[in-house]
Amino acid sequence: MKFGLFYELSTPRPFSTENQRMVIENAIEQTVLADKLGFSSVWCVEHHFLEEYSHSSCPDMFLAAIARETKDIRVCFGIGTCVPAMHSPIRWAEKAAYLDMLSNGRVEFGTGRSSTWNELGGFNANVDDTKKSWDEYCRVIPKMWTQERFSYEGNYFSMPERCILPKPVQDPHPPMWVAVTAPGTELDAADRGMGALILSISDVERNIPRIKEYREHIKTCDPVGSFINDQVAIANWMYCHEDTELAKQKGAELINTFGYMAGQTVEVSEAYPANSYKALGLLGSLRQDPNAPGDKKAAPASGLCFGDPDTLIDTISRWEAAGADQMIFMVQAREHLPQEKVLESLRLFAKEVMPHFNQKESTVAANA
Amino acid sequence: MSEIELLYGHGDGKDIAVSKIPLNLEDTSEITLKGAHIFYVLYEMKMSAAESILPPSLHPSIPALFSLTFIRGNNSSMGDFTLAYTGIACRTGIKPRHLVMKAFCDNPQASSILEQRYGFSICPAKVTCKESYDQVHGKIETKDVVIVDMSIGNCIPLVGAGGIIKYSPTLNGCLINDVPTLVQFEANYDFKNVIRGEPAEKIFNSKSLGHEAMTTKYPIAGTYAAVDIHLMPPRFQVSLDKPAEEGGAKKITP
Repeated sequence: MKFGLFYELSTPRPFSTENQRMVIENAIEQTVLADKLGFSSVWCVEHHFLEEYSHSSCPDMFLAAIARETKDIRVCFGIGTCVPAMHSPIRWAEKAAYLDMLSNGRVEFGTGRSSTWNELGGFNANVDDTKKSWDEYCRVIPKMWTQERFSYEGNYFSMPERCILPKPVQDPHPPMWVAVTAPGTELDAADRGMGALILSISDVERNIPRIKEYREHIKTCDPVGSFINDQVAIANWMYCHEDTELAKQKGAELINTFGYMAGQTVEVSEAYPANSYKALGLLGSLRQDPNAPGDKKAAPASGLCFGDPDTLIDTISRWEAAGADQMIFMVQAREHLPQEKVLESLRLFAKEVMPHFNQKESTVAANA
Repeated sequence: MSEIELLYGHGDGKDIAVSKIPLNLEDTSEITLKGAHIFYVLYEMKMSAAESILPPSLHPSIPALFSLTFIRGNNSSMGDFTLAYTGIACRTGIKPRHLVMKAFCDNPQASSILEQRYGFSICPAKVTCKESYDQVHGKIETKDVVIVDMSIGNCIPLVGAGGIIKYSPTLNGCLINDVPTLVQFEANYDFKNVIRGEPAEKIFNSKSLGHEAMTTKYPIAGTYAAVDIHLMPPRFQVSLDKPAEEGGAKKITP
């Protein structure tokens, strides 16, 4: 079991220079500490126009800043949006390879397609085609990294022969992932030989069949890249404190803050219903209205990592038994927790929880 | 962070239609509109306008949106009727809603029930909603003046509509104990089929529809659904001036 951090870079109003810088600087400080403590990855989202919820419009720049201040932690796109109105696949191949150079081979490349009207409408994207364009991007980007010269004629992207530069440090290329929110997307990941980055915050038990099916499907995959990335990463919340009740209370506050921010977004299904969006995305699932007649009241998720070290060891053991390879944690929401409390939580987790799962990481943590 | 700044409306409520008919909270029976049709069109609008219209109890949606909805009910206990209303997207806390600006109905019996049971403030009008082989048309005419004549075209079918289309409950201005209040109008939907198309307008009189800021410059999409609608008795009321987070939204107790 490996551990990572996951950043939305949610920002409190007013959107002053001070507030915006504070969020970024605090996140960088956390990841620098996490690197020393033995956390293995830092993931950063790409979102646009999501006021408060996420000011992370340029994950490549955030990750580049981290890459230069850290030694071992992997720098991961969580995710890069594969929608033509937002990015050309050429630019993604270039940015990921460039970051691989800056980080000396520590990049992981997550892919996805956005699920909000805020973003897709803001870029005037073709909502009906995002799944198909995502599929095309996943197939061409690894070839741009591995082929000396590349040309392509597709439905959503075409280019004459060019040498796409730089090439990544990792040989043959960075591992590729898919953001999984809607049920079934884990199979899309498996069929393409890509890692499943499961972003729906939910119960351990509900994910057991999902992970099992992913493992079965990937055995017979047709990989889009040069190798199969058979990994499941679970996005989760984490606040570790000796006082379990306090940790749970702070955890509830983080989730409420996050839910409130997610509530400000407009899901595709509310604005532009489309056959390509049959289920709510992460934000939509978080903002389901327990008082609306059509929405089912969701029980609190059982797999959240709020508590003392023993509680977290128990919870993470259940995720491990379910088949998760990585837990990637959200540790802050709109700077609700004081920065020092977040750092203390990371230190306690590394000291008391990590050693239970990985002897090597415990050695690193002890020396941090 | 000690003080978190949130976005609220700062309107004084004067633009919101408020029904003068007391809400009947005694009748809690459900009304079902079998074989009904919903024609729903959504547009973006200026955030500053939405903020200036919405009262302090509501948060604007981001981006700011408004909707025009037609509901055609045939052979229901309310008789044959077509209801149309405009609404500005908003939230009470995390919950997406549409604040009704103006409502129109072509049947006095249905209008009376919609006012008494659900808090709609209804303007009598000639309201039509009909489909042709390649388009859906909606029209509202008051006092012999057409204020809306619009359609959707280039329609495509949506498969598995129940999972991919979502109507937010509305908030209707009405009197509860003589106090102007917003009451939540909500329903369950059993979809039969849905198409989605591109909106086009011949006539769209924003001012007559509730506010001149509701323009059609940024259309998003229109849908037309064949659906059974189960109208629920009102369960929640929202104050005009007190945010949901401060107790402004609460359950209705008859």
